[in-house]
Amino acid sequence: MRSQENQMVGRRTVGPTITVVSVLFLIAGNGGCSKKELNDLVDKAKQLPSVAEEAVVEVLPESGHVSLTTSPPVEIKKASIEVISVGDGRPSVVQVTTYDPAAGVVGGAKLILHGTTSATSVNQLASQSVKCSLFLRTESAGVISRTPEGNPVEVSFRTVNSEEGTISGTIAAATLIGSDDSKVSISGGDLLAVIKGGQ
Amino acid sequence: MNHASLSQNSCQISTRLESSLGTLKLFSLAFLFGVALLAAPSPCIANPSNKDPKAGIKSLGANPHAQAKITQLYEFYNTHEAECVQYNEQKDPSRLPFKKITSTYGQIWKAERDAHHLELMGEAAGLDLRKKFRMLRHEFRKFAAHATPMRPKVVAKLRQETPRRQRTLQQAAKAAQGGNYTQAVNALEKLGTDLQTDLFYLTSSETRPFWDPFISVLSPVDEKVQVERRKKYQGATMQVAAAKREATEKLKSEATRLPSEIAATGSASLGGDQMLDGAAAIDYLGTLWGASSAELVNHWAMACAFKDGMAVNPGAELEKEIAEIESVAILGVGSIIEAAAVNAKTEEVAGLYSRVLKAVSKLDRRMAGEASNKFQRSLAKLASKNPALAKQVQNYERAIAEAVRWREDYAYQQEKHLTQGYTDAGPRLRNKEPIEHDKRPSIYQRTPLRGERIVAPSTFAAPADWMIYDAEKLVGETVVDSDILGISPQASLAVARYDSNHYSQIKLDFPLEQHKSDLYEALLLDDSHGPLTIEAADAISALENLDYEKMGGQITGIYLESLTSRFATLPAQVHAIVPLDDTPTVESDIAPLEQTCWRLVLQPHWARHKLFTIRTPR
Repeated sequence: MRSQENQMVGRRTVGPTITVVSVLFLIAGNGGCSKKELNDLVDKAKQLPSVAEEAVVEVLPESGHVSLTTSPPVEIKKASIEVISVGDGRPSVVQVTTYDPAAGVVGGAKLILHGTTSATSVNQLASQSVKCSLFLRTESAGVISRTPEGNPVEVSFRTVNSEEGTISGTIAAATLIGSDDSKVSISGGDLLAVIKGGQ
Repeated sequence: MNHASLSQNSCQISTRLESSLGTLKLFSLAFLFGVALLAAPSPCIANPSNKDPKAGIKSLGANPHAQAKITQLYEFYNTHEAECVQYNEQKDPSRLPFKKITSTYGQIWKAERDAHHLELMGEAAGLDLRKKFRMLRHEFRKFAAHATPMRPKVVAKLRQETPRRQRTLQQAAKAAQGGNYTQAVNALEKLGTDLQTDLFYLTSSETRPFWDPFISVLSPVDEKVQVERRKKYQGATMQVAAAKREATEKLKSEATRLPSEIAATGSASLGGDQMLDGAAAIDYLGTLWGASSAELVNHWAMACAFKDGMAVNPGAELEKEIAEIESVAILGVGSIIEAAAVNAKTEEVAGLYSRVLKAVSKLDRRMAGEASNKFQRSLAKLASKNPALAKQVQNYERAIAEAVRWREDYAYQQEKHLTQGYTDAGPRLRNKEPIEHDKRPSIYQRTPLRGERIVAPSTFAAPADWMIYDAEKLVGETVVDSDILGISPQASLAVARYDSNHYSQIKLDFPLEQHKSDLYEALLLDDSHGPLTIEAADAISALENLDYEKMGGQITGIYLESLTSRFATLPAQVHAIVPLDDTPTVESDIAPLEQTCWRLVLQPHWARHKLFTIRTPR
């Protein structure tokens, strides 16, 4: 649960005592301090705001990405993945989106990979291949392209990084058809998706 | 069964329909009739079309003698119109066969009266024929200019006959005074026909001493007779209309039998050893509702044939009945769902629930109003028989949401791209534009047409064949139509719902396999798992039933039908051109009898389903 919380805020925890002590050293190291001054410093350090027991270091959260080798290349710096099970014996859905479904498909480039799998969690997708429909919109309110019906693209998932809470994968070559009959040739792609909900 | 005999049977079927036994028989007959309706024009009776502009407007179907009379009069007209064209081309008109011409001239006078009689019967064909006979008589009259030598002899004859004529007139007037109108009219019509035969040769002023006394006796008799006839035919027609309730009565009884049997045993029987589960029972009830709806539309249209416009609403009683039937159907469906819940075993619930959702969605697409939200409580009762189902439905909704969203957006974009080069069918028909060609028979071409005309107008403004000649320019054009509903998935037939004086018939030929497998993927469907939301059910049900939001295609045929006759004879199989819970919307300031209904035959090029578009492979 703790790792889940920390994952959501994209922070990493560090050992409790180290930072307080290093702060003290920093202060102490700037010149001689009397014992009284040191005690004052310790008191002050104890009053440091933010998390009492643990110092938390803010690190830029991993947001994931999807890259497609197209002309021009498609590079979307956000991606998350979830496996949704219905619970009635149907295959589960694996869904990689570069947007938050709750917020909707607004703004710039957006992409979804949607397929079915017998896996019931993202962890189980490691080293698995899933045939997915791929929908892509490169511009805000622009033409949507998709894998042709009956011709899904193969997504090969690689490894799960439990620390970062991500899974990597590659996307096979495919030709997408635009809603205006244009064609988008993909010679391949890769993804790094943030796992939703600690699956 | 070869084509000719199929259509032959379909002519006899219309009367057999009224005395058919069970509902299934009704459907198979109606199906044949419906298919014949949509098949190519038959040697039997057909409406005017680009293939046969001279065909007659079909009967209202209320009076068993009307169609034969209509056919006879159109044949008479077409024969003598052709004759008139020939005579007009004759090099030496002084040598025309005047005996024959004058006899025809007299008969045309009588035929015009017969056409008016048909109008009194609520027959739109009467309107068309009356127009035609009036014009034809005028053209025939022109030949008299070449028969002037005959004039003095004819005048002498007419003078000589005057005493006898006066006696006939007196007798007729007496009969009329005594209330024997039919006898009076028959005698006067015989006299009038003979008189017209001779008056052909005379100038207008010369006819007056002979014609005026005749008219002064005929006119008052006509007035009385027309009022009586109108009342008689309206009464008889409304009796026929009110009696058409076989499917309606069946709907009412089945709406109670089905849920009661299903609640008791889990299924309902359908004659023989056919058993229906809840979902199949809803489908069956929906078919009955369709047949009932056709009967009520028939009734509405028959009533409209006698209205002056301004009051084309069904009338309080019929409106009440339509609302009542809708209630019966909706309550019936809800009861079936709850009855199915009674005996459903936990492991059967999800499958039944999916099938029920599909059946409900199919009904919904055939209604003007919303059906699915009326069954929420009943559906919840069914779902509750499997405690795990509610959570599964929630998960399912989340699992398919994005797959659905992207497909809908993609299809929306595709539609915009595909509609380029396709005009909306309704506005296309109503467009007023230059129509260059003039295909009217040569005798009429002497009177020029207005350069700009409405391509396919909503009233019988001109003779039906002239209207076909104009509308013909639409053949070959590409249009888009809305609200496409499959009427026979086995025969790949669909219709575009009636709107603004037109509807369409379509033979579909779309390759659905890839779209079906893509939808199955997106909606997580397979042989043992069905849709768990009404939206998903609607998507797969529409695909299976050949229901589409829009269709673009080429017009390959065009038929001119009478609005009143079309809906008065609407067979159960084609009920879908009108919503189940409504009557057709028509212009209210023009007499319904004068309104047209254009039937387009479309060759489909592409169609829009909610979640995909599909094209005919070229």
